[in-house]
Amino acid sequence: MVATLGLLIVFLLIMARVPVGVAMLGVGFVGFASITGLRPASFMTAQTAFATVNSYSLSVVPLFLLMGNLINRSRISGDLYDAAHAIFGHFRGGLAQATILACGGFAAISGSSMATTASMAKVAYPSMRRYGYADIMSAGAIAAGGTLGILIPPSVVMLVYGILTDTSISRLFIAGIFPGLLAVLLYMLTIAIVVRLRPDWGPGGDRVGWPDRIEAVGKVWPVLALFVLVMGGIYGGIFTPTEAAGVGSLGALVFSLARRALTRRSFYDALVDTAATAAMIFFVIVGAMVLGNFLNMAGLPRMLRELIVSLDLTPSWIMVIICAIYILLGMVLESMSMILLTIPILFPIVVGLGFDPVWFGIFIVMVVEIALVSPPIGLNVYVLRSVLPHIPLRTLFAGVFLFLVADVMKLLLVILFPAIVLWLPSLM
Amino acid sequence: MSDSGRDVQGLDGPFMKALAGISRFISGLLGPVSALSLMAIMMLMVADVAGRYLLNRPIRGAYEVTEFLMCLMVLGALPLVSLWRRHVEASLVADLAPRLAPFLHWLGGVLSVILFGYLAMLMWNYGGQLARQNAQSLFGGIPKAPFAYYMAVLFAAAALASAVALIRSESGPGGTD
Repeated sequence: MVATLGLLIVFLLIMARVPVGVAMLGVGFVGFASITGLRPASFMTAQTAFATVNSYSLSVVPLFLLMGNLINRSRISGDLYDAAHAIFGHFRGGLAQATILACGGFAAISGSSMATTASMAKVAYPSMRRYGYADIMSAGAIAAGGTLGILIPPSVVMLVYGILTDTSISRLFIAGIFPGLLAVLLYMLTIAIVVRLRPDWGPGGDRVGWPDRIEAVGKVWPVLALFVLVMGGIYGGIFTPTEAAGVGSLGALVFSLARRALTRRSFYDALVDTAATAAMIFFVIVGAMVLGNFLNMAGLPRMLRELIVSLDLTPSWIMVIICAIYILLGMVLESMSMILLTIPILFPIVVGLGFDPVWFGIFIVMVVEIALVSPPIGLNVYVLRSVLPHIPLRTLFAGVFLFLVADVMKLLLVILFPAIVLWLPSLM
Repeated sequence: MSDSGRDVQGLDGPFMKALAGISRFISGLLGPVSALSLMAIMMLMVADVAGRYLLNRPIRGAYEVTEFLMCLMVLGALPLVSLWRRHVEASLVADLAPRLAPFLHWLGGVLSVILFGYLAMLMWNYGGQLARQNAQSLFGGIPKAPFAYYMAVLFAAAALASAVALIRSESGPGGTD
């Protein structure tokens, strides 16, 4: 009862635009104190904050953020797009295909969907417009491609999930690779089908000669090298994710310096910006942990288990219900709040039902991807709108809608064939 | 994400100047603290990895120093997050009902000030507890209490920054990341 009340208050506070961390930490603390008294609640809260912040393994968060931030400032997105453009640009719909590929490449070194969307919009949209692409097509491709940022490792969402649930971040990252490739394929297939039906939405561009193609692709090898270094190191067991993040961020620094894309000022900005993003994430993680402790203490997991038993639901029905919960929540909450609020509640249930924690993590990432582009508050769409203010919001969402079928198909495939997720990490 | 144009108008010049001074002081002091700590974490991590795999000699104490650098960095940047209003928020209701927005702005801000202030007190007491137990890090024997006190002071700074951000708005570097 007290748990339900607590959750309701958190939800209302979040809807009232109270910072998510403040809402979760405050309610978690007060709720815990209402059960155990003030002293244990104070001790639990202080200890949670202290242990979370003074943590070696959690330095993985700022280090991967730094890698993405530096790569973003190195202006590699333009080169990535040029390379994909050189190969696919002459096909019908080819520039949109190139956008998806370039987003995938960017996602392989950045863990943020917003960064992927924003930087790709700046390079891919002008080119597609020049070749007469319909806005619905180009905007849809960028917004959908942007969601690859959190599916293809490294991924901020996977990091947060791993930290909250104590799931191996190495395995989560490796598990994201095949679903990420599957997403790229399905998006490209979507584009191929759409331009077959509406050729005027994505006319073919000029063919690029082989020497130019090789040159364009040659410019992006450092991205591949960095990905192989980081993910290969993790996969081969050479690095822990924390070490890989350290090496990756130094690699990104060297890369940006070599491209002369970094001044002393912009490097300082990258560091402060990253530190601030990390602090923001740590604060909400502490909030989610304190709230989770309260909900556990209040017996919410047991209550939910009893509810499931009494309703006699099969695991597949529970997954359907969970999907529905996320779709509903995705309409009112942005992705980070959604994960933080739901994971402490759902994770014990799902794992108790026998689902693999790594599989569930990837499943969550995919559901969040859909939330990122669905109305009314699809964050990626709003990022796109801030970069391309002249395109009406309706067109942006319509563009996204083209790709939603692919997202749903990918989700179904991963539910029906968990091996897509679990095979690669099982070889580690 | 910051809202521009939220500056409260009609307030006295000296008051706004004082707020601007506080916010300059916070970002001028804590920006470098968090930037340097992050840089140090990266360098230390790389040196440790290189030492371990190439020279077969890991850096002694790298683990614990990283822990404490993390504390410096995360808490150092927390007031900046408040100052630049970059905490994770759901803006749906405020967007749908712009008339409610000022009220929600104050509600969130005041609750943040209270919570960060209270956390500062909790951490300070926790620091006292650690000091009494003479708690030290596992290997290097570094006392833990000072870091809890540091966290307490920085939570207080975050409360102050949240209060400043209630009245004046500014955005930090980056923004889309």
